Amino acid sequence: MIRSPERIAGSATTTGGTVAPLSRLVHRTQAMGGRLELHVDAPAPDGAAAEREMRLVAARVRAWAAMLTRHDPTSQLMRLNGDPRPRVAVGPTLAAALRWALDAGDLTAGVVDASLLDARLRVEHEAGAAPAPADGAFPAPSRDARRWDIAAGDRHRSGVVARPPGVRLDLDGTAKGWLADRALARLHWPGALVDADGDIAARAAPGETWEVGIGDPRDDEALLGILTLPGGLLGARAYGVATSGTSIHRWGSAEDARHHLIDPATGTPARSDVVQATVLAWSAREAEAYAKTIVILGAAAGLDLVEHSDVLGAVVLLDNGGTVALPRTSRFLP
Amino acid sequence: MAIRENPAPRAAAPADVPPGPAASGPPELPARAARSGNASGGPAGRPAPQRPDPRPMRFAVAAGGIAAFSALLATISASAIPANASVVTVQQDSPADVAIVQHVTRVVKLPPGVPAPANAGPNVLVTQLPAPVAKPRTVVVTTTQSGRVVKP
Repeated sequence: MIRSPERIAGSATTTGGTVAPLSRLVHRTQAMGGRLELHVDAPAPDGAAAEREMRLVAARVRAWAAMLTRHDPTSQLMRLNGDPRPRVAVGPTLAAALRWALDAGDLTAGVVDASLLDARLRVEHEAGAAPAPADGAFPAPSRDARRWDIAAGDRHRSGVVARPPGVRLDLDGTAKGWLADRALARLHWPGALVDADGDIAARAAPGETWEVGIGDPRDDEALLGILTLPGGLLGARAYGVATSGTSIHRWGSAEDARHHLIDPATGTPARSDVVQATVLAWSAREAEAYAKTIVILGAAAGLDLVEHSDVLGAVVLLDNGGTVALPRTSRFLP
Repeated sequence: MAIRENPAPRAAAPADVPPGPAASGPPELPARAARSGNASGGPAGRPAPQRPDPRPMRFAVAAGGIAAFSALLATISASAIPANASVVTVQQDSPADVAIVQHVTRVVKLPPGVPAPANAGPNVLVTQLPAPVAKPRTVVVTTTQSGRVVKP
């Protein structure tokens, strides 16, 4: 469903010595199985061009997502997963997304792992949320699964994926933030924001600010906090915000609850004291990777890992109801 | 055209050159003479005063600029620290809370509504956030776990 862009606010900025009114335009649609919102701050005379650009970018995001989804057997990703050859050529978009998945694994000490598709499907199947595989059994977890790689392909920006036999890849843990960053790069306005179903890429113009609420999974009407993302003094500044947790994709009884975040060390749902983690970083893809890492590793090890990274902040909801954050987050919490 | 050999020295130049200071050095340019108060271009009657060495003043101006820039940076840095950070009482967690974050060097808990001080130090990892706040109208978007149905 595509809804018409709407003007929701107006402000003013100085452009070339004259004060030009800015219109904040919003385009809302559906993509990646969830919501997709595009926001831009554009001078009023350029409103029509901004709306046209947002529609084009939204269409591109849906096209990219269709290549990367595991829910469509005809997607490029699932065709790769169904290909028995040890080396398979893939197109530029899938190649770029897979390269980022490898980088995310390096960034998080292997916690973000794209080779866990069958481990996740097994959990969903045992919970009654996914069908059994065609051959009746899921392959056993193997450490060899991580030994997949992608090399440059023959065509421009394409790639060749090399995998151990039977390894199937899943981009659910890395694609949304990556797509949000990619969409933001195609919105050519000083201020712009892409909300890819909760994973957010934003660019704040000088003198402008984006406010991003942190949803409270216990109450739809409450927020754990509000992140204020200001523009730079001399130029626009980019941010990424992403949230991960175990309270949405969750199955089973309270005593034996299972969720979708797989611990690569065990191949089973992570045992963690973190219900939800939100990370503020310089990009949405980094924020998504670190948020999942905190949930999987738990508050202590997860926050310790991101403390030594260049993230801008982290807010964590614990299973005992407490909320903790990195001290550096206070710069963005008014 | 005949080549003149052994031309006469400049001292033997035409006799209409006026005598005076110009005879022992270059004549003062009219503009310079005007700036020095000797508009006629003739002899001043007393030697021009020695100009002070400008280098000490330049060093002083440069040092003053650096000091002013440092003060400006310090002011900007100080403004980033919450005003109430200096009066915050940092309390050590209870043993139960410490057990949750056992790998962390040190954990502090701040009262609800008090933001974490920016100068808490590198050994302090986590701080207590304010209590949940009501959703204001100014929030543009909300980050949530994916798949969640967000009410408009």
